[in-house]
Amino acid sequence: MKKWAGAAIAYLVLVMAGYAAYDAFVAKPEPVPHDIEMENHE
Amino acid sequence: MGDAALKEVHLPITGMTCAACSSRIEKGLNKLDGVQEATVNLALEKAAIKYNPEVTSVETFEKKIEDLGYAVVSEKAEFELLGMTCAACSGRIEKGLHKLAGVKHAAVNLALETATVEYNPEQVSVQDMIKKVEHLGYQAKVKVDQDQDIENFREKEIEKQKGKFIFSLILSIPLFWSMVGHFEFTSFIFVPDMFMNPWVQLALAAPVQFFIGKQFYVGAYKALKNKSANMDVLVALGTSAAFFYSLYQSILSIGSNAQMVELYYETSAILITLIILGKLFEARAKGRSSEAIKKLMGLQAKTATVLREGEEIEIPLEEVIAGDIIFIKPGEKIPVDGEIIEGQSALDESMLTGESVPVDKKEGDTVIGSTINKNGFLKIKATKVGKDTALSQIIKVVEEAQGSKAPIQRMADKISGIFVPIVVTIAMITFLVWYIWVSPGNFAEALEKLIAVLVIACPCALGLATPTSIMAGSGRAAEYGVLFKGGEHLELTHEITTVVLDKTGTVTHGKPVLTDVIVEGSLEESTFLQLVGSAEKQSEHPLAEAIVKGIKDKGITLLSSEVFEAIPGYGIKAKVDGKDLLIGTRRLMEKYDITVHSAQPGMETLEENGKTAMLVAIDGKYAGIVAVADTVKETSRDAIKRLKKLGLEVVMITGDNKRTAQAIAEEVGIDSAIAEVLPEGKADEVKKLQDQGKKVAMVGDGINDAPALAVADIGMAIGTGTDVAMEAADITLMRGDLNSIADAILMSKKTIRNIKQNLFWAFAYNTLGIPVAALGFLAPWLAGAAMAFSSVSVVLNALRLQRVKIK
Repeated sequence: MKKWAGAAIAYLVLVMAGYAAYDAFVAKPEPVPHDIEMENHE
Repeated sequence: MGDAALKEVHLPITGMTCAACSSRIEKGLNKLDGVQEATVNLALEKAAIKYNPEVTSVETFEKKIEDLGYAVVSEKAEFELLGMTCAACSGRIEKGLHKLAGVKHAAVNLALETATVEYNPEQVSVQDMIKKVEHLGYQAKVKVDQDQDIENFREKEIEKQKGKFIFSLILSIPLFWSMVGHFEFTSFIFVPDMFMNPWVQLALAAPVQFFIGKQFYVGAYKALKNKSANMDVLVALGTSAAFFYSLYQSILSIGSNAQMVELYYETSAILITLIILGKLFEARAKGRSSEAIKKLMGLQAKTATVLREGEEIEIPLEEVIAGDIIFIKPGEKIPVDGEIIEGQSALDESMLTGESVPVDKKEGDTVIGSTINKNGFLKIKATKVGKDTALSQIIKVVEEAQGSKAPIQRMADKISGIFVPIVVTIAMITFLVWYIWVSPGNFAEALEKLIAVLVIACPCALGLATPTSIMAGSGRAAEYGVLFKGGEHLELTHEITTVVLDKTGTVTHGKPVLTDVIVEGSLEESTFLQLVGSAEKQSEHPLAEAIVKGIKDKGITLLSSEVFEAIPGYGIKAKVDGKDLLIGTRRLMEKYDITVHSAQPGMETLEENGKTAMLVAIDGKYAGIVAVADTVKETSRDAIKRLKKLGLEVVMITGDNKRTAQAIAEEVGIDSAIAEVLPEGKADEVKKLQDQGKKVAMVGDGINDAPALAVADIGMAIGTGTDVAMEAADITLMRGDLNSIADAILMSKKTIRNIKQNLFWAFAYNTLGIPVAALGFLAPWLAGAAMAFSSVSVVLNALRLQRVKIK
């Protein structure tokens, strides 16, 4: 059973690391909607 | 073709998931040429096939089962071999073993001097294989305890499913987390962006869908290939719909705001996780329902100390052969059935009969394997070993009862057989209604309802409702010393209205004893008894045996008789010490013109007290009376009271004269006694009662009552499991005590009530669940949880029978 749990956790970590890497290096920041930008400005 | 030419085989099957699977295998097997009847029990995971061995074979059944997408589990045995010298020897042994029916594969290792055999335990035993090897000129010994193989296989399967559950649970948690973001009432919970991303969700859901969920696809494919549908079809359809729709949405989202897409990855993953969890619980509970058999098997001793070549050696139980001399120390278990040849002891037989008082046994008495020797040293000669022992017979009867189908199950089987196509149709209608009328154009919502209907409707609980109760009920009954031969008897027994009891051996002990002696004239009682005893010594009649024993117990030495003649139905004629003796009925005296007027009052008094009186004439003159009586069992009176309390009519039937019958009936509290009935007339009396619209249970000792037992709605044989009684009756009462009749009826009532509860819940789940899901009140994941736990609740309810008290 430990084997199965280990494999699942390793896979989950791999997916999360993949997303983090994509988010950090590939993905472009999404444009912030105008109204939120105005709120922040105020 | 007569039944005699038919053979029956039991095959353990793996891979069944629901009632649709078992009925598919059943149908498949029944279609084969040469198969007379095949039944498949889902809870027991076994197929019982009656077939004509000239037309078909076990291999054909195995192939058919495998073609249908399931597998037959076989057992493995390992042997240590002695006497092999070269490769030709190992080849010979392999070939020899292969020739045995039921051996699937045999491999002999010359270097290790071992043999590994894969076999069907229902067809061939370890002893058969040892015998075969010995017949070939070698020696074989069992290497390891192999009776746990099927159990190990199931344990391994459960472990694997547990692992799969953990795997899919870990990957489903982030998906479940992302789901809470969808609901308003849980929107305050923080959900990481990462888990809302469609591609991350796809990456997490895909292994659950295709790796863990592969078993459902495989199952569904096999079912559809055979033009049928089962639970796997529903699960595969439901989860695939959710998964592929989400995948389509994910692809559409490329280039747009990915977070806003409507996805159902969590639905498919959580569904699969929950269904696997439900199956795990079910498998565990199912394992517990066969505990009665495991308990019975656990009763067996593992080894026996036998005398071989003048030496006392300890050998595994499997190697004990009939004729072996076995030594049993106080506190040890009797390993096999046998006869005491030396020593005496009290034996605890409670494990087989439920009777807690130890039974005294001495030289010449028979002993039953697995009972416990309490206090004396015993030397026994093995008479029955392996499959022939009383315990093995009991295990066989219980297993067969657990595996048999009760008539009440047929309806459930029929329904679950046609359930899946109906459900798929309802699901499609639900989808169309939602997509066209309720929420026009909203594909996602309509799909959600379709998935919920597909998943809630699985008929697993329906398929398990009856067999699990039958298993638990018949197992529990066996612990009380009541062996039901099949599910149908367990079902019928609760309808009994009248119990007919045979007198001799049932109400009474069946062992008459000498009770009264009346001597007429000047003859001394001891001389009178010496003459009577010496004359009766030659007779084999049970009453004569009782008289001889009674006289010997008084310390009177018997003489030899010069002439002896038995006159059936009348008595005996003999010459002892120069005197002519006649011993027997009034008719015998009439036949020889002997006046017996003076005997009349004494005879009548004895008969009114339930005794059988025999007249004695010496040298043509009436000389006295000897009377014998069969004593009533201590428990009979209370047991009959219990039966009456249950609202049953109790009738006693006997071959005795009316006065004797009435006396016994009054003693035990029976209102109605049918007397002077010949053994063959008993069946007619039972029929007469049935003609009055009564449901009759006949209780007898199973041998001379066989016709009556067969005619009755339920035949109950009182016995210890060692005699033919088990073959003759529908129910065997292991204790000689009449209380078992009430136990059997109560156990049947409780089991039927349990089955009805189970069927009610199973139907309720499906009939209420489908409309609720179709109307949109049930989220797919909730439907999955409900479906998974419906089976578990049914099995747990059945397990309550294992703890039921019927005293």
